[in-house]
Amino acid sequence: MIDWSWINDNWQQIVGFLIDHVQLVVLGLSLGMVLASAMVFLALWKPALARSLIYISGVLYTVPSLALFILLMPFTGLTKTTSVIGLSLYSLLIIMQNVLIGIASAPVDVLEEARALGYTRVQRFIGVELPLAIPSLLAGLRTTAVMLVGLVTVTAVIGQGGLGQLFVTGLTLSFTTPVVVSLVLTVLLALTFDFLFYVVDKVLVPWVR
Amino acid sequence: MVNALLYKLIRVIQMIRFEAVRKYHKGKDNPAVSNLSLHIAKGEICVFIGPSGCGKTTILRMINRLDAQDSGRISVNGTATHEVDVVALRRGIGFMMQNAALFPHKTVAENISAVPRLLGWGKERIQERVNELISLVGLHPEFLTRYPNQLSGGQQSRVALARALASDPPVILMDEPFAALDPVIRERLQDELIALQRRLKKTIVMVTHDMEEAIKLGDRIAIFEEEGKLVQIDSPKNILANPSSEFVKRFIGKDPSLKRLTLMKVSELQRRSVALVKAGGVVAEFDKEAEIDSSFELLLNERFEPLKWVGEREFPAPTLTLVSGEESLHHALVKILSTPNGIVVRVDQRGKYEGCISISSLYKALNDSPLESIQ
Repeated sequence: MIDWSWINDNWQQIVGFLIDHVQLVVLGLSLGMVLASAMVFLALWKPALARSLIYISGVLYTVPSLALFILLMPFTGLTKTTSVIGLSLYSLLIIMQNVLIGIASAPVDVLEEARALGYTRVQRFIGVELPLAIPSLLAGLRTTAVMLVGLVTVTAVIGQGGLGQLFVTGLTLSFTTPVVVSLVLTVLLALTFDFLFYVVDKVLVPWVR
Repeated sequence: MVNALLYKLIRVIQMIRFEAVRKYHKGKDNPAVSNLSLHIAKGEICVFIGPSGCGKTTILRMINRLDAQDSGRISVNGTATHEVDVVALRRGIGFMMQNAALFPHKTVAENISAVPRLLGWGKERIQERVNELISLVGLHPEFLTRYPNQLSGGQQSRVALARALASDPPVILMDEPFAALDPVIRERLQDELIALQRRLKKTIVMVTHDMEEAIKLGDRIAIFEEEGKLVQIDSPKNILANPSSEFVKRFIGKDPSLKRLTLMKVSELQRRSVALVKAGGVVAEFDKEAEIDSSFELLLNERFEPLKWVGEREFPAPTLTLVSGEESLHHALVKILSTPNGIVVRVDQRGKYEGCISISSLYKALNDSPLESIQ
């Protein structure tokens, strides 16, 4: 069922796709985080905006991924840009929601105590609210990363897609080996990202049991 | 000239002053605090108590402007709180909340040093202070690197106290600091707070809903009713002896006499005696009139240490029960109730005879002191 010689002949290309895949996930995640931070600051600066921001990103999230990439194509073409924009928009909602929830769930009495001890508004945000939101942020990044690993394969339709390209190749040629290789590597990659964030969480958040 | 001196003196004595303070909560017609005037002396523990929703917590929080008054003047250490920078004001006042409210993401050491770090102290000075505080509140230094979720409730409260004391502020505010602890730990922490206060002499304002706690800790108790009205402020003893209204009476509970007994010490009682016998058969001369009736006499040795009860008749003599001047009258009462002849013998620290106490001495003490305290 698996043609090992094909793998042997094409391993350089496979590794290339894998690197591409990782790159897309990392870019989508980073850009998503930057976007989410901007939104979070906006939401904290004008709390009235928070609801509509979550709403807008929620609507974005419901747009089917395939449709989104195709919608973006007239503007940015069959490029990495298209796929990164799409991927980061999907990250946006999860990351933003997690950070906002993290900040909102900081214990009220702890924040009040910070005020009572003489923290300024900025000191309280940097010294208390943000650190307390880190576990929630990391949980969001972890979910998003795993989701993006899957989503990247979809961008194969616009000529990107990292390991997703192998799906397309396999399907067009009715040849299972590339499909299996792609599947196995995608799952392994998702597990790797998941484990990575687990480790980061353990290092950055020693205060949660 | 005299006025200026008087003013200075008042500044020394009064740490916190409320003058005609009024406060409304948003969207409510009735004031949360209506026209409050109150002085809290330097170095005293003043306990606020009252039914829930009476505004006692709001009044506490107005001292460091967590809540701001709508009118009137509050001053701390002679300075009006609305005229100084609010952040500086708060850094100069210790604060301890119910449930400790430690920063969960900071170690014990970081929690304790929060205010010194805000004040920009040097590293070594902070380190030194943290070490000093951790032992002051009775925790082992190995706790310094732990996180709050690794501590028990009592330990968290100790850390919160250390944090409140960190910059050595003259005033400490406590909002039901021990309410969430189990009774055994609560009592221990109360005792330790009393011992600490003897050394530190801070001005402590504490909110509680527990009358026992107020009586135990307060130099003075301020009782509030709705709308932050101050009903009575006085020493626990005087409040128990002379509650100013039905409201206060209801508030202090059904057994004010018993509560007063816990506040009074055996040494406050007058010396009363039964007939004394010295070893060797000589009747001691120093107490000719036996004020307490007893069918037994008390036998002392040469050093005036009580040995046992002796009687002429064939009845078995009761066992001797001793009490020291430092014990509370409540303790003494328990001892009196459990001795067969209803008399306990008071001795000094070296065990020398000082007098006898019966139920009538307690009765007299309870019914005399109201007269003394009216002044």
